Amino acid sequence: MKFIMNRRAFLRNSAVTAFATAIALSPAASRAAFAATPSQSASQDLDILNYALTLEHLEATAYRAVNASGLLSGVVLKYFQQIGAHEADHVITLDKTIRSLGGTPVAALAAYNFPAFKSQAEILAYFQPVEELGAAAYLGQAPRLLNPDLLTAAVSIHNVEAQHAAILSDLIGVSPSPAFGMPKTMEQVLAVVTPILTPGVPAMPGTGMGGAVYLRSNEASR
Amino acid sequence: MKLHASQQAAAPLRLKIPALSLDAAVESVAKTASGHMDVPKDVKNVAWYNLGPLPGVQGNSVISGHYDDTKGPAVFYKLSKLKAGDQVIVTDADGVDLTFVVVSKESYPVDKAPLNRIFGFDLERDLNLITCSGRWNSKARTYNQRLVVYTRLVQ
Repeated sequence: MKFIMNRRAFLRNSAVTAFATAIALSPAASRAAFAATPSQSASQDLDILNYALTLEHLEATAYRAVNASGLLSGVVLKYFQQIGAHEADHVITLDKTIRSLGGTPVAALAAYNFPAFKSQAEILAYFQPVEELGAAAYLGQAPRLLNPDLLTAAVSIHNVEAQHAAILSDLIGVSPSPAFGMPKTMEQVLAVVTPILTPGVPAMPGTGMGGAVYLRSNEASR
Repeated sequence: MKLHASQQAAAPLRLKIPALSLDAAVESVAKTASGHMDVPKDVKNVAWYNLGPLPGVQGNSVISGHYDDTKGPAVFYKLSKLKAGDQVIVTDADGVDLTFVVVSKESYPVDKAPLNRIFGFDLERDLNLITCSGRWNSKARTYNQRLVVYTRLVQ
């Protein structure tokens, strides 16, 4: 429980507060023109924030699902509940931030293509790379953020995601931290998460019955 | 990777393609038992894949239409005539017109189409139009290719 309280306090004092403070203090954000007609730089920042929100929606939904699955227990369940709360807070904060900058936040998808987990071990093995990917995604966008206040705030979330990855790494018995975090580009991240964001891709439809074949051969012979 | 305005959208009711003088009702379809995107019941109509995003929402929305029926051309017979920049307009249930423009078009062997690119997630607000193309296989009762016209929301 002590862990949970400390983590919650950390979150309140880092990511959420950092974002809120960043937006409140940002000279750009305080200009009405910034929200009314976003500049190119504001537009790029909004795209990045919506990209982050897309990933946070995925994570928050995933944690909600496994936390209600009945497959987790003991300290793992406590950690997952705490981390799930963090991800839900990230969603709320990013959503508010995007709105405050005059953007429109992306919504959570109606469904995600998560695996059908059968055990706690499977869940841990799945979520550890998800958290590493989340941390790498924030790091990958850091040099692209043009508003320095947003950069500070994004790094604070990156920090939390990296701590999640460290906790899950420890739980599955691998080294909790490399010497340096490795960034991933938007394209690299999307290549990994696209199958999760794409439930039920169908095969191509059958949209022909052959009745135009005769017509087509007549057209070709003209 | 630009994201566009509204995330809200309603079910599509009509599809208009001025360059083809096409104005068709939109049916809502899911998957067949064999896992294929279903097709419109009426060959004069087109069909929106309702297990994917709504047109105008982030991701790849997909609308299919028949190339022909057993007697002759159907609603998407001339789809291959579209070229980059042509407009595709979807009117939704709220009466809002969503305007897309053609970005590119590709024909694929039916079993080699890049399904994730066509139906999968992306950060844009895209609408992909599908119909048959290629050679009619009278034994398999299908064409051997599918034409995909990729369009992107502009307003």
